[in-house]
This record gives sequence, structure tokens and C-alpha cells, in this order.
Amino acid sequence: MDRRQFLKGAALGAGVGTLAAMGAFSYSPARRAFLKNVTRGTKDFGMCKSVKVTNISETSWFDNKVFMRDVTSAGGLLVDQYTFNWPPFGNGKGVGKGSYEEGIKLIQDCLPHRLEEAWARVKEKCVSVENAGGFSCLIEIEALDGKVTKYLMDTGWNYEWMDTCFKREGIDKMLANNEIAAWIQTHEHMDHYWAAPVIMKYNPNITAYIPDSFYPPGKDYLKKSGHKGKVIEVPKGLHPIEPGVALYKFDCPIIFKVFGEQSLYCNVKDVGLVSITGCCHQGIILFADTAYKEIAYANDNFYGLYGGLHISPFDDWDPKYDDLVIGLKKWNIQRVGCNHCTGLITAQKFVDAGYPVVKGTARFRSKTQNYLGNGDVIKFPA
Amino acid sequence: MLLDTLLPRPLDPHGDAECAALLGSLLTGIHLDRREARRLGWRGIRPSATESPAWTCRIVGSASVHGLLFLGEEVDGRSLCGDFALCLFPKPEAPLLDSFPLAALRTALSPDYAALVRELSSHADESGAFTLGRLRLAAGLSGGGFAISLEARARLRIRSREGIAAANGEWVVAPGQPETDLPCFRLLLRLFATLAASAEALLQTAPTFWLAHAPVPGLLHCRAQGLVEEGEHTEHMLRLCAAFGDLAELPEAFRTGRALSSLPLRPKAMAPGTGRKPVLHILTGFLGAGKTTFLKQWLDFLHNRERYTGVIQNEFGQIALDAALLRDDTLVEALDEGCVCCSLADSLRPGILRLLEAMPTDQIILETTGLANPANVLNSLDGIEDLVAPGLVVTVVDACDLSHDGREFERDALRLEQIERADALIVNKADTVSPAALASLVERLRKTNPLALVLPAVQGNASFAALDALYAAWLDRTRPALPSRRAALGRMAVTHASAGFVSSTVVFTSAVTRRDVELLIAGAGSGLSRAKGIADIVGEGLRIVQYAAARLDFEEPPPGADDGERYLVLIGTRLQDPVPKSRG
Repeated sequence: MDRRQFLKGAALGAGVGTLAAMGAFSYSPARRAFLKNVTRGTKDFGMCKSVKVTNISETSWFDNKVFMRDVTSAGGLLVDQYTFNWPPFGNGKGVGKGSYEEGIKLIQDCLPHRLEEAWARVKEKCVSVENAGGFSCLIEIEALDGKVTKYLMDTGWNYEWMDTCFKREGIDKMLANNEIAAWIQTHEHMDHYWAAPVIMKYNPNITAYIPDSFYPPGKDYLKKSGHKGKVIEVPKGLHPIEPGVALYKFDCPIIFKVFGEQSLYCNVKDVGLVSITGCCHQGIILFADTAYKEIAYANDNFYGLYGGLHISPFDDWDPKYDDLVIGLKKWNIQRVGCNHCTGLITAQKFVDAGYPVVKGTARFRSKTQNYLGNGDVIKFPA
Repeated sequence: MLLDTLLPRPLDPHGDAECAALLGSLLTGIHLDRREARRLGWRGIRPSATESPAWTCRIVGSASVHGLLFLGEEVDGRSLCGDFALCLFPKPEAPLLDSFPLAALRTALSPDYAALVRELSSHADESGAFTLGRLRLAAGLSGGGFAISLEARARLRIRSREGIAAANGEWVVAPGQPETDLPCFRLLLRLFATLAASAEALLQTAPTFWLAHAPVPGLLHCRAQGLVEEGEHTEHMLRLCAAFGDLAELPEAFRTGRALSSLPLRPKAMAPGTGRKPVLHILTGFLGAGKTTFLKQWLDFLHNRERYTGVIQNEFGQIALDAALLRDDTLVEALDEGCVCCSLADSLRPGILRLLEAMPTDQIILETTGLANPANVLNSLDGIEDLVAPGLVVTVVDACDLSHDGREFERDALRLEQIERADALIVNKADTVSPAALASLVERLRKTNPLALVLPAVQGNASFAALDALYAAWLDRTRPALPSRRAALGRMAVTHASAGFVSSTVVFTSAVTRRDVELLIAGAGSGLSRAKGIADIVGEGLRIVQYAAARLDFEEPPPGADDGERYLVLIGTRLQDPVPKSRG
């Protein structure tokens, strides 16, 4: 009898009993019997009351075609970011022909207090200087007792642009007054990291959380930027930093020869998990799955998401699922603030699909109201 | 250190899932350059991690989905060794499934099958019946050696002692006959070859291959004891290993057997020197169908995946509005006035060269005028074969326009050519017609061009991944030839010149009202097909003026569109001079 007929038909007799018995054990001797029984995550890192994110700058670069021209003419996505001759690491030899060593030599005597002078040199030796912007945001965590702790996530890229943005949001004063508890560096990409000296200008003693997989130039730049504070290198996995707030470091190779990215998980009382990402290079599927696997959060609810929602590092093998909007559906997120590398069309798709996208004001060179743009604020819970 | 490329930090022998991190890094690393990943045979990956780390993927040359599920790891001498189950998930209708365990077939026929495969991480138990072998991964703790091995039976046969009978007494599996009979090793070889080639590309070291085999007993299922080994060693367990770097650091098992100079069954796509010429896609569509809107969306899709794409545009009419509309999205090379399908040989080659000089991309989209006949464009591509690899012909059609009575494309030679020669038909403005009208239009399009992929779109937003899949299937030869590649039908190619199309441009020297624009449109006469331009509208500010399918719209300009010029380009047949004497 045909197997499909057998399984399909109502002919559920003796055969099915046998089948059930056969299904009770592994068919293949190659499959190890001791497959670990991994269960739902229960790591408890406490709770906070609310989270507020102020977008200082999400515009990493201003003109996409200038950026793409630089990348393609330097040799593509696998080229080391320090060799592009992008600001501030230049040697005057043109796109793709720079090096970290030559670049840092050009400016190191000016860091961190004579940044205008450094930038004047950068303008002479680097390519596409005016195109550089940066990604940076201020995260304010309200503890259950009402006490607020501030974190600065990422530094941005362009010294001039970031200094302007920091001043616009009062970050310069917060840094100088020691109001910011720590600086969280999500990953080593230029648009997130290379304006580090602008932070040091205001507070060189700030505690820094960086992924433990920074490459030597990244670590050297941290020192030469004038950083004097504590450096905590976050290893793979969960790393709680205060009740209800934990970093999670993902081991993933990223374009332009960068490795590893950390994101922030916040467990907000009564509402659930709020995730904050720089670029989410690990991919949103892994980001969400990992939270589910590793941690316990209020109401078992994935409540909110903020930051650059970078597309998956892979193309899906089923084209009908190759879409961030579909990929996130199962989590039923209630509050989304997206920007930066999300993509204007993806942001529009989120809106069209009825996602609770918190709109921005499209000010300070941010391009769409679907982005939580420069100077915009999002709160969790609303 | 060899392993630095995969993991630029020391391995942690107690790290729990370091081998899963290494495999994840290998898979992600090779996909940083998505085109290279494709060349090596990858056809999409879906990670899942709600429980044990897992990946499902497609590989060129196989219609099944492959699965990798992390089982665990342990220190073995100077190495860390990880185990992964290797699964194969055929399509439910695949005859191959009839040789799988019956439990696998039962799962595959259930409605949850697709979800199970996608979320392999949380379906480890159900995946047992689909597990055909295992992948072992060894990484030297000092970072100098790396190896992967495939272990599977040459043939997995499980005989059923008592047989399995249906309720009516008929045998599904007769006593003593195999319930499972699969060439496991061969079925998993493609995935292994692709993994090994990816490791070779990332580690930039050629591997040493070893093939070992050991006789193993056959397997018998009996009611009383379940699965038991049958005494005689009549079957073969094969182990194929690819080892990189410092071999002494690796466990013995990864460097024993017969040395092979290369892998058997190396997929064709992996052959070196497949070339990296940029791909040239051609975008056509009748005047006002929404080509530029579609192109903006397509570029956003591509650029989000870091697949940087340049555009060559050609407009009928003196002024390049479309180039201005795309200015913020990518580098646009605007060709001279005229239509690319008539003067292509002269202008396209230098255009491509200029674009590639400024931005050496992997992909170019040629947006033709709404009047271009793709057949003519395609004919001219012969002369630039040395510069670009042929891509898709994508035609955007206007659902609203084509659903009107009297707009039958079947009777319009140029539209018909654009539809007949398309590999993909984007039915834009799908939201402006009823579902029934859309369905009937799609049916008419399919009748005209049965081989094309038909994708409905709203505001130019279609399933771009489906376009990718179409192109990949053509490259992989898993679908019939593309309509654009069919031998010419021998019909006289229609050109817009023979159809009598002309263009005229009105330049605005000051702000105008909506009424002024409406009068211009009306004044151009019934031959007007399309008008577009940019103008300061009194009381509104800068607007993009779009007239197509008898609809006039004033749109917000995208960032970067303002180059200071204000004008309206009119395109049609038998155009009358629309300009009132007082303005011009």
C-alpha cells in the first residue's frame, strides 16, 4: 500500500500503533542520544520601572551614494574600515589606501582637547569628511525606587557633527557633571565609534563597556582618544549592569572587518522586555530568539524595540519570509522606534503593516517621520 | 592565528557553545559578501535559537532544505569538538520522502511542517526522523587548526521485522522489508562541500581531505526491542573530513583515512573563475506605470542588504527628472536624450563605463523610457557582454490603466512587447482596482506571458526576494528559460518612433497654480500619454507633478530632488502646443 495513502487515509489501524512506537526513539544512530534539553530562559536580572531613549544622532552618513561610491571603489564590504581613509584616519592617499597607524599619527597629539585642530587636519587628508554623521543615543533607566541612571550608547563618527548634536541634547554638560554612569559601545563600526574623543573631551573618566572582540586598532584608539576610565570588555552572553538592565554580546562577523556587537535588554515592570540596539548586525531573529532563550521578562511580553534594525545577515531560503516585518510578527511587539540602518522603506512597511511605530519629527537632517529621528525621544512604557 | 577570522578571541573550553559560535561565524562571515556566498552554493539561511542553536538552509542543486542542529561539545586533547545533527527536509511532495522513516513522512504531510523546519531550534525531537548524519567540528584550543567532518551511512536501511500493515490488512512495509532506505552520505555531501568551500574562502587556506569508512551492522526494527543492530557488518559508515591549518592540533579522527585531492560532487557553481561581472537588470514599463517608484523601493531592498546598485537612466524628454528623484538613493548615470532602445549601442557602453568608474558595483539597473521596446534593448546587449552579465527584464504595468476598457495591451504593440519580453511583471497600483479586476488582469498577463513571474505591487513595493529567487533559479537552471532569453519571434520590432511618440518641455520661470498645470495638460490634447515635472505650486511649495493614465498628482519631492529647475515634460503622440502665449 502506498505510504501516503496509508498516512492520509482514515485507515488508522494497527499500523499507526506501530508507527507511534517507532517514533518514540531516534531513527538514526548518528543522532546523539544526549541532546541537551534546553528550556525557556529563566535568567533573572531584576526589573526597572521605565526606559527613556533620546536619539542624539541616527544619521550615520548623509549621502548614501557617496558612501556606496567609497565602499565599492575601495574594494567592497570585506575591506578593513580603518583603510578607507574615512575621517578621522587619513593619509591623503585617497579612498581605500589608508591605514590606522598613519591616520592616528596625524591627529593623536590633538586628542581629546583640540578636536577642531584635529578635524582641520582630517579635512585635508581624509575622503568624504562632510558625509560622516554618526549614531549615538542617551538611555535613561528609571529604577523601581525612581532613581534615574543615564547611559550613553555609542559615540557617533564625525567630531564636528557629534559635538553639535551632544550640545543640542545637553550631553556635553551631563558628561562634564558626571551625570552619565557609563558609556556602552555596541560595536566597532566607524559611524558608532570613531567620535570617541568627543566624549573624552567632556569626561575622560567615564566607564566604558566594549565588546571583548575589538580589534587592536579599536582598543588602541580608545586609549589614544584620551580615555582614562574603567574599561569593561563584555564577553559573549548576558552581562547584567543594573537591576532590569543587561548587555548581551553576540559573536558575529560584521562588514568592514568588525567583529561582535552588544545590545541592551531591559526588563520593564508591568510591560515586559525592551530591547535597544545599535545596528543589530546579529540579525533581529537571533536577537529576539536569544532573549526568549536566555532571560525571564515581565509578562513574558516582548514590549518594545529601539534602534537600527539591520536586515538579517542572511537571505532567507524561502523568499516569502525575506522581510523584517514578517520576521518580527510572532513577537507581537507593542512599541517600536526605528531609525539608522532600518531602511526608509522597511520603516514605511512597519507603518503600513500597522506596527506601533512611534513617529519622529524629521528634524536635524533625519529624513523621515517614520524614523525616531535626531532629537526625538521614546519612552517605555509610553 | 588561523581561527582569528572566525573568532578573534581565545576559545573558552568551558564556554558551552563555542563550536556553535564558530559555525555561526562561518555562516555569517561568508554571507558578508552575499554574491560570494551564492557563488559557493548557498541559497539562503534561516537561523533559529530559541533552544539549541540551529540553522536551516538551501544549497544549490538540492530541492530539499538542509538543517544543522547543535548537539553539544567537549574537549578532546588539544581541541574543542562540537557535534551537530545534519537533517534533510524534502518538500512534502518529493518522492524521496517515501524512503524516509514513516514518521518523517507523517510530519512532512502535516500542516506544521514548514514552521517546524523554519524553527528547527525548538523542534529538535521532531527533527529526529529527518536526521541523516552528523557534522563534527574541531577547533584547536590554541587557534591553529580547524576541521569539519561529515559522518553518515552510505546507506541507511532500517528493516522492519514484523512489517507495518494498514487497517485493511494491506502491507505498507512488508515483514523483513526496509522501512527506511536512504543514501545518507550522498544526500548530505552538497552541504558539506559548501561548508568546506566556505571555510576555505574565509580561512584562506586549502584544506586536506580524508575519506574513511568503517563497516557497521545493519539496523532492524522489531516490536519487542525497538531498533536493534543486525549481527553482520554489511553496511558502511563513511567519514569525510576537511582539515585546515595545524593538523597536529586536531584529534586523530579528523586526520585519518584515505587522502583526497579534492571533494567529490563539488557543485558546479563553486568552480573557480565564475567571474564577477556586474549584473545588468533592465527595467521597463509603459509611461507612468510607476517605474521610478518601483526602482526606489528595489534599491532600498538591495541597499539594506549592502548590495550596492548603480542606475542607468534614460528619459524621453530633455530633462532628467527621474535622475533627480533618485538622487538620494544611488549613483545615477543619465544617458543622453532620446531612447535607449534606438541609440543604445552608442550611449549605453560609455554610460556603463562611466558608472563603473565612479562606483564599481556588482549590479546595475537600466531604467529605460516608458517607450522602449525591451526586444530592441536586449538586441543591443550583445555588444556589451564583456562588461556586464545579463540580468532580468522587469516590466512595471499599471493595474488601473490596464483594467480600463479600451486600454487592452493586447492591441498595443509596444505594451505587448514589454509584457511578452518580461521575466517579471510588476502589477503596480494593485490597490487601485478591485480584487476581481486584479485577478482578471493577472490572468490576462499570464496568458500573454506564461513564463513570467507576476508580482502585484502597491506604491512599487513588490516581493523583491521573489525577484532574487527568480534570477537565482534561472542561474541554477532550475526553471524554464526566461522570457527575455527566448529566441526572437521574428516579428518586426516595434519602436516608439514608428508609433509616433514625441516629447515637449515647458519651463516654468515662476510659481504656478494647480489650475495652470491642469490647463497645460488639457491643452496638450488627447494624444498626451504622460507628463512629469517639478514646479513651485502656489500655496504648496515644491511639488513633483505626475500625470499618467489620465490621473494628475502633485507629490512631495523626495530629499535631494531640487536642482533648481522647474519644468513639465509632456510625452505622447500628436501633441498640441499646450503653452499659452503669455508663459514659456
